[in-house]
Amino acid sequence: MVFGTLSLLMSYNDKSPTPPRWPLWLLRWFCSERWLEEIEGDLQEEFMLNCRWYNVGYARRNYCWTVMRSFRSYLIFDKLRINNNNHKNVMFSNYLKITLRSLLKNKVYSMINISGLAIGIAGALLILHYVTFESSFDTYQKDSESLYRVSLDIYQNGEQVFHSAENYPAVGPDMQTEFPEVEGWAHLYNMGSKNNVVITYEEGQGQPIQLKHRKFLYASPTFLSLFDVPMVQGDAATALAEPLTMVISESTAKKYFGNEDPIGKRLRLKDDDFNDENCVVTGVFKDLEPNTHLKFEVLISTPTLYTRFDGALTRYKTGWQRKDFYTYVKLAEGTDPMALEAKLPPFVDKHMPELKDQGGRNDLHLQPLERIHLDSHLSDEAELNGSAEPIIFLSIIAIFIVVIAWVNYINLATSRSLDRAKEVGIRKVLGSQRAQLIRQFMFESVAINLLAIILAIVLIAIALPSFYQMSGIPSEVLIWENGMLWYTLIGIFLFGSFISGFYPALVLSSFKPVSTLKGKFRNSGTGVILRKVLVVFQFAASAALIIGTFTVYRQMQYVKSADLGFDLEQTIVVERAAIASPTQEGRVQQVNSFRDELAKNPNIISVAGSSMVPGKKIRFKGDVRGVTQPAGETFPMNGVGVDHHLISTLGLEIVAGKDYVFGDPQNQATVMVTENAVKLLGYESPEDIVNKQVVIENFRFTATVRAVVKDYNHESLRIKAIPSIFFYSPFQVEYYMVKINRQNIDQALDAVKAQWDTTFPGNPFEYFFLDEYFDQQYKSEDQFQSLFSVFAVLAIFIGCLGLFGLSAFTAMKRTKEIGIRKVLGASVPGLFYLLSKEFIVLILISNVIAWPLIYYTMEGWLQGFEYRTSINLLVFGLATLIVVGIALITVSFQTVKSAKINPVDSLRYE
Amino acid sequence: MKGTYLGEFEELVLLTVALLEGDAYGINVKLEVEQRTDRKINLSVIHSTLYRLEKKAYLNSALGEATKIRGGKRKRYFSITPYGVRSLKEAKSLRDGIWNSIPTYVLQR
Repeated sequence: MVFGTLSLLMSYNDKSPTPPRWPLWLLRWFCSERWLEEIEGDLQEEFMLNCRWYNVGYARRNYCWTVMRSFRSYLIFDKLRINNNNHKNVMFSNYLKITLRSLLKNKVYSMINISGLAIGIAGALLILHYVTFESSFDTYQKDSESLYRVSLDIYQNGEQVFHSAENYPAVGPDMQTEFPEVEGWAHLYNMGSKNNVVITYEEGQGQPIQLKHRKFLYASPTFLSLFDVPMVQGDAATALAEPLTMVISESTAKKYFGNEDPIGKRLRLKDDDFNDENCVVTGVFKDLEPNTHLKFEVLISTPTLYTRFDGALTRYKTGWQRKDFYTYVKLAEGTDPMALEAKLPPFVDKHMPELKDQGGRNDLHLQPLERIHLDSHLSDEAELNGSAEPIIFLSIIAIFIVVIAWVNYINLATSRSLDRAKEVGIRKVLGSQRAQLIRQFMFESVAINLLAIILAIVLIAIALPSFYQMSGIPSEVLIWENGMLWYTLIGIFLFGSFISGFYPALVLSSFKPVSTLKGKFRNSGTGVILRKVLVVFQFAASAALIIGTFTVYRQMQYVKSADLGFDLEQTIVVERAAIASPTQEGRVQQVNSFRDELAKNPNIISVAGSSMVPGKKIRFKGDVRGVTQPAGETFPMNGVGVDHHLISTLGLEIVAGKDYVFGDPQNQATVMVTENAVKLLGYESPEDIVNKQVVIENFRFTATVRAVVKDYNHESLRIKAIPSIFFYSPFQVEYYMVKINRQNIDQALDAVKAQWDTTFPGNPFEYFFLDEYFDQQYKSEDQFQSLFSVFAVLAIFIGCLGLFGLSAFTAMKRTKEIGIRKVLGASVPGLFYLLSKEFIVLILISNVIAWPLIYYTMEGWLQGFEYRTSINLLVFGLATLIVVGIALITVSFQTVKSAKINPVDSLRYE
Repeated sequence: MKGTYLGEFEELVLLTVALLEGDAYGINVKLEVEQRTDRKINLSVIHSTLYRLEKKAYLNSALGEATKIRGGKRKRYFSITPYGVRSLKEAKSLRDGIWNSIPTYVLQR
């Protein structure tokens, strides 16, 4: 025996694997004592065997799974039966019985209660999932809180001309050498607007696999380790150290190589800068998490860039001229980023001493990695980022909804007190203590909350597909894996059970048995006031949400239908070919033939080429001044390269002067400006500036203005139309815009593809519709709008459930009064008015409370748009009408019923 | 009918208990059935079947010894009752009867 215990002790000491603890607790909780011991023993034995035969992980999983599978009725019922002898459990089962009975007795109430709570919880949890996803960006990265991106602001003559996510290539390495608090750096080059790459696997069997890539970056050798990119194959520290090396994602590897080993294979990259490089795959990384602001599938080593031409090392690593590298630094523990930021101006001065004399200033800022997705809206962002505002709004709505649902519960529970007053009286007479009654009502509240939570989970599961679509969260981010969700669920359950159970429990248990049994029971005045306050709160929230929804909707309609100054409709856009003719003449030839041949097709109205596409920020800035203005005092303007078809294809309007004409020798020497540039350049009206000269200082180019174009909104209406200058460059085409005939879209598309394949062989054909592309800028607003409206509807629905219960209660309370009034000759409509009046007043009060609150909130939201609708007061009236209407309908179910009741019945009531 | 009816899996477990007489407890039965049928079976399925068979009086059980590997928990040994044996035999003879009545040329397909 002693020996046995000893060996048992030893087996605990020698670090033998143990099964997880929680399944055992679960098992002990539900499993009948009768079989518990041997089941535990068998589970343990199986676990040990599995450890020996397979591995610990498998054994643990199997253990949990088996326990879950053991959740069988015979074990549980046996336990319940045995435990029933126990005194505590008698009360427990009695509570259960009473709860079930009262739930079943008032099916409508129970349904309202449970479904109201469930909808509220489900809605709040869905919002929570959205909120946690949006705020989880990049938090999974190792040491994410010590990683910062260095952004760049450039000022010229005190005016901000550049506000970019990208920076000089030398910023990262120089910061590390000069500041001890910078532990590491990495930078990535995304080729900016020229990000147009075709990657081909040529060495495989059969047809070479050729794909056009967008999620494509050049990364410094330090990048993989700094971001701790999880590698499947290859070494993060060395994979990108050599020129002509690349790492690719697992799914990209699958696309090119199938099941073959990708390491050592070669992929050929061709881009429209005539780079043609055959790179070796030196590593494969796990596909990235969807919640990162920096998404890539292919990374190529920056040393590849250094081999491109003489001086490439300066251009791509040590230089302070070009600014096109995403730069990340890792700060040592305990570094204050603000203190480091303060040291950056002298750092810039040291490396760019000539800047001050030219009237320029560069500011470097540190952006915390985790906040980039929500807070950063610079030019040249790697992704379209989200924004923090809707997140806050939605969180408030989520809290609102849950609170409304709880309020409902309290409301209904107290209003049912009349119903249960007699039960309480009898219980008290039979010797119930107040504490016991409180316990009973608390138990009911726990039971109802539990049911509601189960129903909420079911509702979430049902709503999930449409939720994913609406919110734009990738569906691989499983809601069930969100830990926050479960904690919140438990929190809501505990808090809700307590909060919503406590007040009714106190009220109900306080009744005096004598008065309740004599039938003299009347509800206390304070209870009524509390209930009214709760209703006012609910409907104030509902009205606010309705007004908010309308305002957001109106603004989005306004923004989308506003006159942008050009025409987005029926235009498709094709990005220029990555693989083009190597000679200048050849490329001119290609551009010409694509444009001109295509224009001959009857289904195509016109074809234009440009350096820009509306909806994409323009990086290319001209520092422009009028020829009479003093040198150096320039205005930054968007620089746009156009051909002689662009103005007409996009439907831009010329206010003064003439568009470019094909073959006009003056084309190259002339520019066009937008109307808002006229005043800046020192002229009163558009007519005045035509044929005058302007100087574009950064190109050392003086040109004549040939025409003035009406202002157009190149980007979303959140920002003002930017002054622009148009240059004639018909062959530097980055985007082809093809206006097609609406009737024959398919034929037109076929024609474009056919012409593409003829002119640019070897390039995959891709296109997009201009209007869809432009509207993508409003993606986050669209999501916000749909979430907002859905949850507004939910809030109103829950509010109505509460009102329904409340009206039923009031009607019941006044049954006798109604009977007497009827006997004395009151009409049904008169009674209906009498009964509804009270609620209408409440709802009007709640609307009045909601108005100023929502007015200021929406005013603040609209401030975010440069172009906005005014808040329409009609919307307020409309929302009030809707709320009152819905409330009246809800209330009428009860009031009509009680108004119609035969007075004989109602007078005999009680 | 319910209560006396012997399901396919129940029959398998019952036969295995008879086979393992003297050493028939949860894990052993599971391993034996798994090995013979060549399929994965969850332990909880074996448990519920054994208890059901015991409730139907096909099996008897008694607690046995505890071992180290079981974390000091005892085993429950099952053994087949005469009634269980009879039911097995009945099931077998029922099947044999049907087997014997199948025309030979069908079996030669």
